[in-house]
Amino acid sequence: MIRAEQVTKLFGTYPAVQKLDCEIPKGCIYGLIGANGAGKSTFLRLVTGVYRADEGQVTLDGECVYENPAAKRRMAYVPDELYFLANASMNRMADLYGGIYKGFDRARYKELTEIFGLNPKASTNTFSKGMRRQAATILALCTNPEYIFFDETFDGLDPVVRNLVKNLITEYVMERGTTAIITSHSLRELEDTCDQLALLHKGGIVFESDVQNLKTALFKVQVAFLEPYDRELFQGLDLLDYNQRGSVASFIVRGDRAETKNFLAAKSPALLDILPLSLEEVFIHEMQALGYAFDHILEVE
Amino acid sequence: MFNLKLYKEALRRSAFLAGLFLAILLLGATLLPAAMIQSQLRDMAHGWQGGAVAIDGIATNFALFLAMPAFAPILTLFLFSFLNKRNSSDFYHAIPHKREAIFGSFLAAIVTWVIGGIWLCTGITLAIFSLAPAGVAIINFSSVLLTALGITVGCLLVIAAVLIAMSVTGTTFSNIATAGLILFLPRILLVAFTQTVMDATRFVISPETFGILGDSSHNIPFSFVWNILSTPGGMSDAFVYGILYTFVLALIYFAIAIVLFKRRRSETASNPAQSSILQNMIRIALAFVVCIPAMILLSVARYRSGDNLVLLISIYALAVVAYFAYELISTKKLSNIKKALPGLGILAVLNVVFVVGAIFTGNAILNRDIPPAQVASVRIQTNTFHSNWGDEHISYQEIRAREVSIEDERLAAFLVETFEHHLGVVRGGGSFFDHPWGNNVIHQHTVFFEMQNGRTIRRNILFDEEADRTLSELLSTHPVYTEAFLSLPEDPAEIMAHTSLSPEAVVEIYAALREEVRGLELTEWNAISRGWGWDMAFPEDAYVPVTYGSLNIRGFAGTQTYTGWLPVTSLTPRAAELFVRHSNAESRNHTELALEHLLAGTLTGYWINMQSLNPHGLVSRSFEEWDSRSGGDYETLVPLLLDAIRAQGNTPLDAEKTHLSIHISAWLEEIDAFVNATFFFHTDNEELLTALGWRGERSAAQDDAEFYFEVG
Repeated sequence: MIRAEQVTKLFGTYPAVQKLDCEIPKGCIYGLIGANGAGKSTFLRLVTGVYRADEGQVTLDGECVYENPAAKRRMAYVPDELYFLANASMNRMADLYGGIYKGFDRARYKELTEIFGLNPKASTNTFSKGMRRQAATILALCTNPEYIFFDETFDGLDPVVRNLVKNLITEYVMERGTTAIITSHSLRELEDTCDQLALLHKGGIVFESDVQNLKTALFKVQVAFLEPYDRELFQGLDLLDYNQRGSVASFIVRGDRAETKNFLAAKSPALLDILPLSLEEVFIHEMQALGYAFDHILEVE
Repeated sequence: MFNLKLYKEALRRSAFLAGLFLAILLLGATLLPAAMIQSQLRDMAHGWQGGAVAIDGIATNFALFLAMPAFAPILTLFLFSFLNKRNSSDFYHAIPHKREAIFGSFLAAIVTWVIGGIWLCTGITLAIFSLAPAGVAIINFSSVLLTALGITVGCLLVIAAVLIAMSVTGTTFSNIATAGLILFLPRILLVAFTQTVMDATRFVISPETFGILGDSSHNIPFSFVWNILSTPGGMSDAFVYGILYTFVLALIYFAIAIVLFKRRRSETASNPAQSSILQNMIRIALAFVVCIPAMILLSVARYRSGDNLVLLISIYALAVVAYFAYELISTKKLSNIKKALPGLGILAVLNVVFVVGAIFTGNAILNRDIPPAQVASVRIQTNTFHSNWGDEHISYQEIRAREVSIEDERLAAFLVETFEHHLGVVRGGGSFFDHPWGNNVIHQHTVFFEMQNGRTIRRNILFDEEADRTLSELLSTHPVYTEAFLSLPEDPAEIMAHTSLSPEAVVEIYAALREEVRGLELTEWNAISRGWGWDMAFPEDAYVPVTYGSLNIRGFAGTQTYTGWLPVTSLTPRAAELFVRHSNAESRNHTELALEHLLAGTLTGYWINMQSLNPHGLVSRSFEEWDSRSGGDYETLVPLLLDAIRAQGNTPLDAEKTHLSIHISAWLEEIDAFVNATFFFHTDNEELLTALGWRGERSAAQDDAEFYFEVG
């Protein structure tokens, strides 16, 4: 389990991460979304022991990560800015990784480069952005990590490459029960990959939830009555974003779908529709409920 | 602290760059010695070289010069450059190794290349010289090995300084600027301060007065840069201490570097400094260096005539430009100029502290009394003209004599009195350097007052002619000192004559000279061995010795290299007789041949010097190809000269008679060699003396001469 407790990281006087608390259970794919500058990369650097927290600490199964080779040996990190030696081929990079990580799996490395059609002898300088992402992901996965962290890994990739990389990661994670943290500034990149999502804003997690819960916990209701009515009629429901135009009202409800349907049906509506929400809509409404203007803190595509 | 795989990775990564440097060092290690040996063999074949060339210090491989300023820092900057880029910095800080393991393994790779390169090349060079034909080279192994060791520890200090800089800064520009400051700023400040205090005391003190702080030679990288234009190969005892000092300093720097490396924030990558405070410090330090000339000017303003206001304003303007330029270049943000403004106040305060400190220290030194009663003993280094150029030109006699501690109340009182007289001049705003040359010759000697409380006060004291003679007389009453001063080294590594003499002849002359010098009066040898103006220290009515030639020696006293110019004069008649005999025997044919070609107009690249040798002074006349004014009536002169030379033949010179010498340096096509011949002969031929311009109406040459030439 990864645990961050009251973690603060300052750049000068600017708090990139502030009093951040979170727990990421083992085997979970944890999606961290937030706008540029929200603190996603800083958080990952704290988790990987690149940065030392100014306050609080990040632990991996109870062990502090910073300057802890034993903890770091269990993790792999694919940063937003990839690192390759100048003019190095993938084979040269594999040698580098092999020298650093005891468990580097050369057979798997060979297999994956063949599957992805990457020339291991060609200079990575000649690779496209997508190929470099694939190469970095392959190298990271071949270290056989128990924890793996991807910073904006899918961002800016074309759909084909994005799916290739996603599949590579999800297969590995499913196979090994690995814990992963994936960051993005785009919710759509993560909704079909992650088990859990968190929204980072101004260095703190403002919202965190299980993806499945998110998708089912909120739903949209459209209802009409022949008699005049107002919001008071729905007292007892947890309403978000209530709108009424004439006899038709639409609102978001947080709660159990079946119970809500029974509650509304008992009031004999002329029209009753219960519709699912996209993950993005769920986020927008949850954030609004928390007092944030969602589109201000996250890039909505 | 160390990981073998990381070490191998670092070696592999730096192999290309290190290989390039090694190739340069190896070229130097092989080609330079080969060229020296070849040149020496050629010189020996032509009889231009009196003996084997002494191989010491850096002379074995000049390419090793590159190790400290280029090889070590560039390799360090390259291998640790991952700290300057965000992606590489993140990568190495995320890998499962402690930071000290990364530091130690990468450092080990650099040290392997650098030290391996230095010692491999030194070994190869020594092997080449050892395999050279006998008599070509004499290797001073201790000097060569100490030099290699000195370069090694110098490289370690440079590497450590670069690592400190890279641990606290995050761009190549700020790495280099900070490393430069770490390496040089403390010493620059010390040198500037000591020089300023020396200037403020009108040089009655030397840098050595400040002990280890004043001796820049202890810091090998600094000393290397400081003496970059000086003759390489000179090595003093200080160099041995310097190795130890530099090594200890390097260890301290490495300890600091590893602490800072461990504490380094990964986010420093691509930023000029780890914190704004550090950025301020670097910027102020750089500007402070630029201010140094202005601070020196202000500190010694009371001794300087003329208005330096414009110069001062220019220097401070330059410092301000440097101050803001660093900020702009390192941060690339114009808005930071405003933030940097308060630092100028700190810069101003530092300037005031420096100037006030230098004036205060200078005054304290000038006001320090040396009570004669408290002087237990004195040591004296009577400086020759050569040793005033620096320690690498020190003579053997100076090395030995300065170690002799003399307990003599009269001598101590005389030295204190002379020093007080000197201080009186200094306090009045004067300097012994302001004294006119000419007949009023001033000698500067270094006196070590060994006080009864165990302390030693070192002062440079000015002696006029009379005081200098008194000093010589007082010193001559101390046999230990006299013995030390009159001892020439038994077996110098190099003995060379200014004229063509065989190695055997040179050795024979030197042996005779060494024996005869031991029997001279201190005042006599003191006077003639100072290298120039030797006649000045003789009383006016004294017999002035005739100088026939000289030998130059070079060798090693312990780890210290000495040089020496040894005149062969009538005071050492046996050596003089040998010199004249061997020189005449070896030079006669070449002299005649050269004169015949001069007459025929076929002599090229010539320089001919005629001298009269008599106890009243010196008259000389030169003729050279490139100076038409020196041309003479060769058709008259040369036949007369040839007659005189042939008349002398192989007859020994009569020392009682006045004689002439002719020295010819010229290229002789006929023997395909450059000749360097000196022939001594008698003449009473008025026609020849007239042709030389030494008879008849008084000539310009005679006007220049102090004495009119008189023949027997």
